[in-house]
Amino acid sequence: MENATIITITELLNGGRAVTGSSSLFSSAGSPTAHSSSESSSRNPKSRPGAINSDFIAPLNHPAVIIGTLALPSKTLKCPNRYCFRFSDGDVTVCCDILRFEIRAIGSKICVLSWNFIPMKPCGGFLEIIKWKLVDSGNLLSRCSSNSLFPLNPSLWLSDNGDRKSRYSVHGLLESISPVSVVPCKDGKSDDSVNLPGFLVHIMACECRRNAIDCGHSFEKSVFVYFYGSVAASWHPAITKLVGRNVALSGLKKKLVYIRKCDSLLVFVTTEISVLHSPWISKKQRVSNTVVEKKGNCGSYLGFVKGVYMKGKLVEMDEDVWLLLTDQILNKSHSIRTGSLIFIRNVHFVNSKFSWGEVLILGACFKTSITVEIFSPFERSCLVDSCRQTSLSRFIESLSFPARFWTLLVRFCFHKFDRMPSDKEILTSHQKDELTKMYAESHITPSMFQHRCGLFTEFCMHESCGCNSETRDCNLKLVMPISSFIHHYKVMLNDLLSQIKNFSASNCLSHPSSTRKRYSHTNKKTVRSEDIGVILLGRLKISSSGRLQLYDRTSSIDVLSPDLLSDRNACTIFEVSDFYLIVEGIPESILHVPFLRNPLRCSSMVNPTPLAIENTLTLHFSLSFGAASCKNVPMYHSLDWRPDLSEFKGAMFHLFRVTHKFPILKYAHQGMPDCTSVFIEAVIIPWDLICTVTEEDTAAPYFEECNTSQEIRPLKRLKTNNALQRERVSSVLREISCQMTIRCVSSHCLMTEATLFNLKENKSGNMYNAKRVLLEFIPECKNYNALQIGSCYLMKHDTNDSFCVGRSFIINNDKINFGPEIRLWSVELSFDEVLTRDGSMDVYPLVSSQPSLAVKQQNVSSPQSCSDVSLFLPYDSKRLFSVYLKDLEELNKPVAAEKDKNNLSCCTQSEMIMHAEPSRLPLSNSLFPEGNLATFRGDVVEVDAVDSCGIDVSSSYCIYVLVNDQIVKIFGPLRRHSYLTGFGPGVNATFYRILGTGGENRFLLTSASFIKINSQKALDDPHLEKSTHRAALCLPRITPQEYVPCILSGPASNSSSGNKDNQEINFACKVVSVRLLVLQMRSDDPSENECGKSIDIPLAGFVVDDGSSTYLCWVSGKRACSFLRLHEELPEKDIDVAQWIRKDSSRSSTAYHLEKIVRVHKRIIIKCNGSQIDTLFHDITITVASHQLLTNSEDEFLKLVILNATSGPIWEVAASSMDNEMIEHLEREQSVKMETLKLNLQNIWGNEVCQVDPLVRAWSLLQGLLNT
Amino acid sequence: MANSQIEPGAPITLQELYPSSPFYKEAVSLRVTGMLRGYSNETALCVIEDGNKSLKINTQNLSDLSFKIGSIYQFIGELHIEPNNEAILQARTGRNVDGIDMNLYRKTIELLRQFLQVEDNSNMVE
Repeated sequence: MENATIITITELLNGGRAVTGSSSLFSSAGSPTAHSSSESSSRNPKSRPGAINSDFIAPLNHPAVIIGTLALPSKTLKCPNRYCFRFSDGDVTVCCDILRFEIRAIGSKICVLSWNFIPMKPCGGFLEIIKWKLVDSGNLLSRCSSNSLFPLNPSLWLSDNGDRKSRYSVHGLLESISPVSVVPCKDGKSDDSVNLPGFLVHIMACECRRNAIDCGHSFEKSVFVYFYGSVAASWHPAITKLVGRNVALSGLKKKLVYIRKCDSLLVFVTTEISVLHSPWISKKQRVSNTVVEKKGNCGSYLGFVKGVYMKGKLVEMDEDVWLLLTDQILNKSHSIRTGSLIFIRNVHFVNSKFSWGEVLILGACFKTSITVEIFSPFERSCLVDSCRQTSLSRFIESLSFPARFWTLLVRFCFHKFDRMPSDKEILTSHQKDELTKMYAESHITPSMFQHRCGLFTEFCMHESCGCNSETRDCNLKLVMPISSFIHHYKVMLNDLLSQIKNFSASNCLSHPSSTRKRYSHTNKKTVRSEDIGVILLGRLKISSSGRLQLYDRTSSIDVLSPDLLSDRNACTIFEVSDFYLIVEGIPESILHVPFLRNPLRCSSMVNPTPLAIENTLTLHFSLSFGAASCKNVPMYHSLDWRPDLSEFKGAMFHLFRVTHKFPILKYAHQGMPDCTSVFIEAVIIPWDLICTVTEEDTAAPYFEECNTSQEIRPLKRLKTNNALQRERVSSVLREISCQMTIRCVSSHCLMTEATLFNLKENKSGNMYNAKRVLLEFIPECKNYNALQIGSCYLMKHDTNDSFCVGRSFIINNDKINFGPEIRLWSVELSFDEVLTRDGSMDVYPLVSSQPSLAVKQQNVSSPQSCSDVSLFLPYDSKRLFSVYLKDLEELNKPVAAEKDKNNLSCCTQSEMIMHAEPSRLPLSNSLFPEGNLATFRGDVVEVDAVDSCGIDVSSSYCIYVLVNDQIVKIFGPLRRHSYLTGFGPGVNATFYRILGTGGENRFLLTSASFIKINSQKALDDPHLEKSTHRAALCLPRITPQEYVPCILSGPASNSSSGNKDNQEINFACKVVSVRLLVLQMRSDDPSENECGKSIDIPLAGFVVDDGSSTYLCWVSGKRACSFLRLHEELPEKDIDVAQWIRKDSSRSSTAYHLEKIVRVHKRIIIKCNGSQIDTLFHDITITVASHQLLTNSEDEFLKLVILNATSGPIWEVAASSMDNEMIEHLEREQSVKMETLKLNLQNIWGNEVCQVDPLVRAWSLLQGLLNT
Repeated sequence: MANSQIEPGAPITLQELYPSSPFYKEAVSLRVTGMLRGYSNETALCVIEDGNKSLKINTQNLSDLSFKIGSIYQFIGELHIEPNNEAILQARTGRNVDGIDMNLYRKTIELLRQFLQVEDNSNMVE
């Protein structure tokens, strides 16, 4: 202490970095005297040697103290938080906070013994005073003689001021303190209204006189004291420190305050002569510092700050405990930094259940006060709140606590939407606030709003004003950034995988290996959004690889969306609430383990944690949008739709229909780019459309409601034209008038007139002759993805358009280049019946722009039209157009429906699964496969790898598709097809142009075949909520058909070589008794019969029972170890602790102890003749190879091993029968008598032994039963 | 027991035990499963709970079953409807079934019923 140097605040400010110091720091190190005499540069914190840990505040390398004065806040300090303590060393004043606060420190010269200094922007720095002492005992604060009297306004205080009005005094327990608020008051001297700050405190007072000795001080009377005026208000930080302690105030006035229209309250008001008496110790004083208590909804909470977000509005405390400091008026101390221990008094405890998990919200209200108990040792910047009120902060203040919390998370998510590379406009913080507000308003129900009645009411009448009536359950879904969302699932899968690895390592389970090669992408899981409870926000783009993606600033995720508008505004933020998450590339071992419903932690969202283990998984995540899931986020500035409409004004359009899309293929050849261009086959319909949008039309678009897709249309207008049209259609057939509906972004719709013209260049006179062309795209072109087979599209006609440029007319099979800049509109043709059938208003869409609509998932609410343009044609023209459309339908005839079902040797789904052997590719006689092309739609049941049989298919797959209740097999190089995001079992897909190979429902996938994924079903196992099932789920699932005959291992392998056609049986059984057990040390060859360590079991016979029959099961090596449960831990009570030191887990296993015994006796043969558990040890013989006697404990232990085996779990055993020859061979080899004849049991050889969890088995059984 | 014909206890979930349910009848034999919420030594009554439904069990005939709150128990017995229309199961037998997967159990009950129904129908045809 004596050696400590005095450091000035100027030095600290000049250092410009966080530093911590103390008077006793490194007191023994070096020569501190030298430091003290040296100049300031050597004391500069910058000269400190390298940081120990950059995360901690760097300590000074020498002891140092700061001497200065602690003062109450004043306006001179430029700190947005106007009510924090000041510390001045004479030259410079900074904000500060102080531990172990005493009132007498105010205004006194103190020596700060240990401290943290953190640089802070507006006022230079912030000093955290950890330890301090008064420099001299002389009290500089007041002119009063007593040490325990502290006048609120020392300058005006006279010890014997005898104002009769100011005679009241209050003493009691300080319960709570309000923030400082400004009240318009009339100054006594002038008539002008002045805004005067002040704050309220709530004291539980004793009604006795303060100095009454006989009073036991029962603090029962609730009293409010108003600290009035700017001088009194400056006591706010000091009084905050006294909350929970006893205080006394004298020199108060009494005033009746009307806080509501009819409610009045007697409040004590401080005056110029009010005096604060220092806290005294009462017997009844509560020790509130150590208590985290809860009274009703309010309580106190002591905890470490884990993170401060959103400018201090959101403070993360413990796991799933969040402190909300949303009220702007709340004074947020600078010292609330990550790592500090804070004590929150009078805070609302709100247990909130959200759809994604539970959160304890600590909601701060006007009664809440926060004191820092321990300053954070970490180098984290201070909280500086600018106190700026925005419309969002006002909105948040009007909500209930769970809704506030949710809105803050939404704001956090919108934070991810700035500076996106393709954005033309950058969202400012203010715009994001507005966006958040609009988004939140659309989701928050009226019950989540909370009426605020102002500071006075809420503070004084806290219980009655509804401050504690909280809605607990919030049906709000978490809005997450995409990266956090993906990260959550990666962490979960990694956890699952590591658990499985641990489990299988510790139990030496043999995994049943499958010889079936599988399409790697079939290892996928689908999770429904209802089970996740998350909403994703993002924009849509086409990635460089040609995939459609939803993206935000953090990440992007692939999207399967069959029903998107062809043209989406790139700036629109979409909200995706109904989706399936598809996770591909899940390792086989956890494929059948149901995903646990890990609650999403909000902390992982605001502060993502790195993966605990190295991420070895290569997972692919994609989303499949559900019906009507994707909607625009309402933007505060309505998107400009006018340019959209002006494009139509008087413009001429080509009309074409997509008949086929050629897939993007990955070429296996090195050096060749994956794809240079992609093709779409289309038919150009020889009718051009001329749109007649007028200026008035563009000026008055109408808003299309969700439910009025068809009704609202002004048929009147149509009718007036109909008579005319009829004439035209029947006579000329050169032009057709029609009604046109144009849909723009943000649901604006426009009805207008349009005319279809027959193309003049049709010289043959055959006006029905359509032209088939190939459209060439680059894969990045958005249009390629948007165009759907079977849909019609419009393209604007001008001299430079793709159809017209460079050619006078289009001939069949022309190749037409499509640039990415070309805009296309999807068009839906409808033919009105109103003309032909009187009274009926039916509209028959002949060609829906979305061919999938009719056969979509059944839960689709209404097939709402989502094409960009709808054309209403008179019914008569249907004849004309059906000609073009009919042609195409013949091409795409569904094959399974057309063929005679009786002729097909179809197999049902269950039959197919029974076929365990992989399907073989049909052999073709000709060089190239021949057949008819077919198009059909069906549910993908399974995707398998196929043995290639000579044909050039290096990686070929067989897709089993269920079409009209028949299984259809499609063979082909699936991997070469791009755009198969999410393809696998559970998908409903349309297969276009699949080559029929003739008979047996076999088809070939060619490079021209196109697969379109229509919908996605969740095929998941049901979620198990309880985490207790975790362990059970880690066991591998056993399914009988996964077993494969394998070559017998160990000594039996030689003898069974001629026994290949041995039938293998699988059964679940328990060990009833042990017949024979041969134990020996491991031979030199490590590959032979290894059993974890050095024990070798060359032969063991177990009597096993599967519930219906009993077998004598012979095993060796690993399998015997499993049966004997050698790797399990011994029950603790079975081990003499003194003898067997249990230090690590390997020592506590049975194998460890058994090995000790075997090492002594070299070879032990145990024979039991009792076949039941009660006669097990009646006739037991143990022979040892060594010439030593078996000790009693060894004998006991060996019996324990046998007993342990018979109380084992249920085993799944794959075994084959044994013949006499094999038994004899084994007997000869092991030179033991197996005495198989004694027990009249069937002898079998165990090939595989697996433990099975009955729960997992039961679930899989159930799944199997439900599926059939 | 005086009644010589004791019916087998039909496995049900507590959710299926509501006043208008076919199981909610006097002297119906049931097999119920739920987590023990409370137990009274004086009255030998205990309360089991499954989801949001609970049921009182009279365990006076059970001698060697120890009760632990929070464990899952299964009881077979007859339902007794009190005058106030409250149901109490007079347990014939009971056991601790800790570790049971209630979701799975519920599904198994459904499947079992389906199976029995099919069996019944096929018996009727023959």
